[in-house]
Order: sequence, then structure tokens, then C-alpha cells
Amino acid sequence: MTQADTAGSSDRQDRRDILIARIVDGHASAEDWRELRTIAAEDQSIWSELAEEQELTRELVDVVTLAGDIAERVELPTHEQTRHAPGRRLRLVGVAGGWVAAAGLTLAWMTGTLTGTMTSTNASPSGTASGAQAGAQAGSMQTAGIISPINSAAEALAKYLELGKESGEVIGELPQSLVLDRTPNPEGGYDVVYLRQIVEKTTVDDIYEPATTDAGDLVIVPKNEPTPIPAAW
Amino acid sequence: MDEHDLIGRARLGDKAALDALWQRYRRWVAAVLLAHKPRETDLDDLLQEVALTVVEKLGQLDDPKAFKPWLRTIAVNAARATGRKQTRRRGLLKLVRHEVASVGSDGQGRWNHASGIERAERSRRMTGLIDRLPEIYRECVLLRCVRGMTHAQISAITGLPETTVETRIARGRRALRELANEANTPQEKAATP
Repeated sequence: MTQADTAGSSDRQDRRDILIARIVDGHASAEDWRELRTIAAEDQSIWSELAEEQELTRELVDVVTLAGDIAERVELPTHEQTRHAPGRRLRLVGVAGGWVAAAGLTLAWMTGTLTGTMTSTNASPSGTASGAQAGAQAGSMQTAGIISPINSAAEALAKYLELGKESGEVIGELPQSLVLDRTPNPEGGYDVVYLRQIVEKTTVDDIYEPATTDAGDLVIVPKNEPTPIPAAW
Repeated sequence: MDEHDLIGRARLGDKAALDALWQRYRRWVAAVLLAHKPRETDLDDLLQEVALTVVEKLGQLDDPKAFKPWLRTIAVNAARATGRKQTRRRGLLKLVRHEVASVGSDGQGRWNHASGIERAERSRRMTGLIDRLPEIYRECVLLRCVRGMTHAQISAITGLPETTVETRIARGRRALRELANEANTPQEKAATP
């Protein structure tokens, strides 16, 4: 076979593949269909290739759709959560509130009030409450600030609570904090490790729960919630 | 809102505009990551890495018209950097489990175990085929499967001419058919008396 023959054969194969792709994607013109039928008159195997392609494309779309669905759950971090901040490898989905609460360790921790209806509870991560350490931490979080300048961890927390309440994502902070540990500080006083409790609300399409398949694999399956009974009943 | 307006506002620090851009493009970012990420790397982690980089580096984007290729480059770099670090995660398994959860219901909210497992198995098989597809075709083939993505849009993201995009998709799909047939052949032989 000469080089020209090879090139011609390759071009014919490309043309055939392009026709199949166009038909499967639903973008084939009348001319494309005519061309396909002409090819099929000599080589009927193109029909089975078409059928295979339809099946494979359906499976491909499933995989890509699934990846897209995962992406739909990933939101952009605020600038304060970028790699300038400590704890860079954060799970940003659903934990933003907890992180900002952790940044607010210098706040007096009995000031929060709970308003509205509690629908879910998120306990924020704990941290040491050394004022000097927290101050340094807040300082290291100062960035170019593409959003609005926040000068301290306390301001970050206050802003988070304010914006969260406005958007309905934050219900409020429980007035009680849970003390996990306390140790005397050599310079006086105590270092207290405690847990803040901030109540958030979110809306999801479905609720999932872990389950085990017959083969023993752990999978996540939709949880069938009981239909709420109207209050009037 | 027009894409260039959004990009302009986002570069000036408008968080809502930046969020809108991300929400508009994150599905295809996931497809790009899927095309370039090492097997078993966690897609979730990579998406978060890209999201972080977008927030940090948007100010460095000189030409707003180059936003899509810029975003793609961030995704490709994130996926390749993870490969270099040899991070071994159970991303594929996670993907398959999500698949089980998302497609296993019967349409009325009831879990259909058999259907979910079967589709998860198909998804696992397809993910394996994608991994074996030559890299030159992978991205175009996957981007074409993102809802509503045209050859022109893929061209704008990848910087390839539209005709090249179409040819790569067609060749990539043929390669995928051949890989699928190779994978099926031993089973068929075994099933033949």
C-alpha cells in the first residue's frame, strides 16, 4: 500500500467516524445521512458501529454528568479561605461556616444568641483560645482582599453571621460553648480549648445515607423520608 | 449577564459575579479534570483546588477574553500536579458510589438496588475505558458530553480549531469503541461453546 493509499484510507475512516458522531449527537444533515447510506450500501457494518456508538455515548454522558453533579456541589471559597489562610486543604463544601467560626477565636464566646427556628446543627471546629496566637492567626489571614477588608477574626465571624442570617444560611450561634480542655498559661490565666456551636440551614434535593450492598460494599443511597403530616391533622 | 461583563466585575472583586462565572463553567471544568487527572485521584479535591486558584489568581488574568482557556489551564495544571505528587485516592470508587446513589432510584424516590448496581458497574467500566483512551482525544470527547457543549464552545476552551475538535471527537469515539470491543472479546469467547 502506498502512502497516498494510507492517507486516503485514513481520510475515509475519519469521514465515516465523523458521520457516526454527528448522527449519534443528533446534528447530522440530510447530506450526512445520504453519505452514510451510500457507505452502508457497500459496508453494512456501519449500522452496528452506529448502535455501539449510541450505547457508549450514553454511558459516557452518564459519567460526565456525574462528574458535573459533583462539581455543582463545589462553591468558590471566599478570599479569606484561600491558601494565604491556615488550613488550606479544607473541605470547602458545607464547612465554610465552621472555618470562619474557628477563625473567630478571639471573640468573647458567650456573646452569641440564637434566633429563628433551629433546623440543623453544625458544630464548628475547636481551637486554642490564646489571644496572642489568635491575633497572629488573624494577621496572617490578611490578604489582598478582593472582596471587603476584614481586619480581625472577630470581624470575620461577625460578617459571616451577618451575611449568613441575611441569606438564611445561618440561624445563629448557640449561647453555650463546650469547653474541651483548659491548661494554665505560663504568662497567666488559662488556655481554653472549646467548641463553638453555630446553627446553619441548607436546602438539598435529596438526603443520602450510607448502606451496605449484598457484596459488602459501602454505598450511599437515598434516604426515604416519611411524608410530613400537615400540622392541622 | 454577558460573560465579559461578569469577568470584568469579578476581576474588580465582585464576589457575586465570580460565583456566577464559576457556576456557569464548573461542569465543564469537571470534564477537563476527568480527562487529565490520574486514575483514582479525587475529583472533589481537584475541583476545590481549581476553585481556590480561581479566587487567588483572577487578578492576574490580563485579557478577560482569555478567561475560558485560562480556567482550563488551571484545571489541567491542577490535575497534572496531582499526578506528579502521586496522590493515591479512591476517587474512582467515590465516583462510582455517587453513581449508585444518583441513578439507583426508580424515578419515584425508591431505591432500585439492581438497577443502581448495574449502572454503577457500567460507569466503572466506562471510567476504565476513558483512562485507556489516548490523552489527545480524551478532553474533546468528554467535553462533548457536557450538556449543551458545542464544537465551537470546546474550541473556545481548548484553543483548537473547530474542525480539529470534531475530528478528535470522532477519532476518540472510534478508539473507545475499539477499546470496548477488546474488553468484550474475552467474555464473548468464553461464552461461546
